[in-house]
Amino acid sequence: MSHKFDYFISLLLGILFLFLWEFLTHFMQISALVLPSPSSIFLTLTKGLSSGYFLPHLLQTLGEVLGGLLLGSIFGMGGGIFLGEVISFRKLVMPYVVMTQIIPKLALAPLFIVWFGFGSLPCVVMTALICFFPMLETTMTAIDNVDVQKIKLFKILGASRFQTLIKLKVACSLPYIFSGFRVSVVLSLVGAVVSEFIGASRGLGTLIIVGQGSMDTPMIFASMTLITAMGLCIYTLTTLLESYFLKNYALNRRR
Amino acid sequence: MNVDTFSESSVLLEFKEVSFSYSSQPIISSLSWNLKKGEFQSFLGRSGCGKSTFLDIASGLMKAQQGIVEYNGQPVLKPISDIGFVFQCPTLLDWMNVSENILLPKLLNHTTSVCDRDQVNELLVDLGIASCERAYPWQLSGGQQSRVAIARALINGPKILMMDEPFAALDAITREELQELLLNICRTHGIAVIFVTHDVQEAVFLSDRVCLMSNGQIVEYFPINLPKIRVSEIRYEKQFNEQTAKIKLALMG
Repeated sequence: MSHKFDYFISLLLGILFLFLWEFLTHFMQISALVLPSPSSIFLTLTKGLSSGYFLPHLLQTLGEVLGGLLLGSIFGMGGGIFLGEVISFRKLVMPYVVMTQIIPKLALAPLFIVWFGFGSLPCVVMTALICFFPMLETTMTAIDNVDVQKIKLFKILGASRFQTLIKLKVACSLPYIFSGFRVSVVLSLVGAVVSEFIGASRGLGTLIIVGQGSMDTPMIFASMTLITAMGLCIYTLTTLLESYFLKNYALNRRR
Repeated sequence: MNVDTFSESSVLLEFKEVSFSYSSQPIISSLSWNLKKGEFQSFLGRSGCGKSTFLDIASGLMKAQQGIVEYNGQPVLKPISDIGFVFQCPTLLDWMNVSENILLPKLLNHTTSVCDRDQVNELLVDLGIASCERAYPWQLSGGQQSRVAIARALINGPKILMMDEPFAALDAITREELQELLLNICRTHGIAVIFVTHDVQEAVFLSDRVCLMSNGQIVEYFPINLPKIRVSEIRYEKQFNEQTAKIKLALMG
């Protein structure tokens, strides 16, 4: 009951904010070029959606986000498991991994265009690169911090190194791996949209640049709304997936 | 150091002049000791006296740097498969229910069979947690979690149970209940026990003999002269209190 009430209040706050925004843009006569009213953004959005104008851009960005997220997460998780388990190797490569992450990703975009050409591939690679590090870091830390007593228990029970890794360390790390994945989901949208700014001909990021060039601020806001909606959908799907996989975990149940 | 005078005939586990050190700091020093079949031995000593290292070497988790450890007359070179280990924390796996946690040793060895289910049910009844079969560890009380940890240690029918302060975090009543339960199970199945504890009363109540450790050596053995069948009331008897006082005095040095 209290949960429903919380959601209701939260929704009410959102509606109140939109009304205030609508009222202020009219009352203060703010130009649509600077800050369009929510109603004009909604109009642009519905018009673009019903005419099918947004659809290819939406699909393009969605494909880049999902592709990059999948690639980055698989490599990040795999790398995290490996570096969490083989500590001697981690000491060797970790400084270089950190270095690659410190380089501003945006600076790499022109290089990616040279290497991978125009189109969605450089955007997918950029998104994957951005998603990689949170997954790697959380997985590696979780694998490295599994309860020593439990590892001792597995040794006494005669478990092999592989069994201990999969059935204990990875299993224990799942809640933390999922938290890293949630961070990656949020970052994947940033990666995809920002890389579209630089060298793409299609996608919601490209629409923002087009909107900026043609001074169509409602278009920029409509694109941002679509990006936010897409992000929320992927994030919600992730939490559902998390609830399913972690349904028996204490951490998940206590929430 | 007192010489261990137990007969050699039914010796299960034996230390012969075993030493172990961490970065030139001796933890176990030239320790000789043995455990007979079905015998219950407790280890008492101050923190850092080498009790946990002793258990690690006895279980085969760590190798003695000097001396020999023998199990059934054979040198111990890897973790002994015939032992059950119970830690201070129950170390149950969060994502497995009680039955699955108990079956873990069999699952890891890929040796689960239909009769294992009956064995789990039997253990659940013996340990008084039959109603918790499908529950997850985080749904159980501390006492129930300890019972599950004991059941998991018993599933492979061990010859030796090694316990590292298993009841230290429990309340007094639950601890006494579990002590009696443990004694009954070990007597029934003829399991030998190495029990590490800081509680002198617990050691006296449970053991056939108590080993007092200090600086990596067993400095004194105390045979416990109490009836084999022990009930809670024994704790209030004169003989029990005398033995407890004697060990406490020795412990304080």
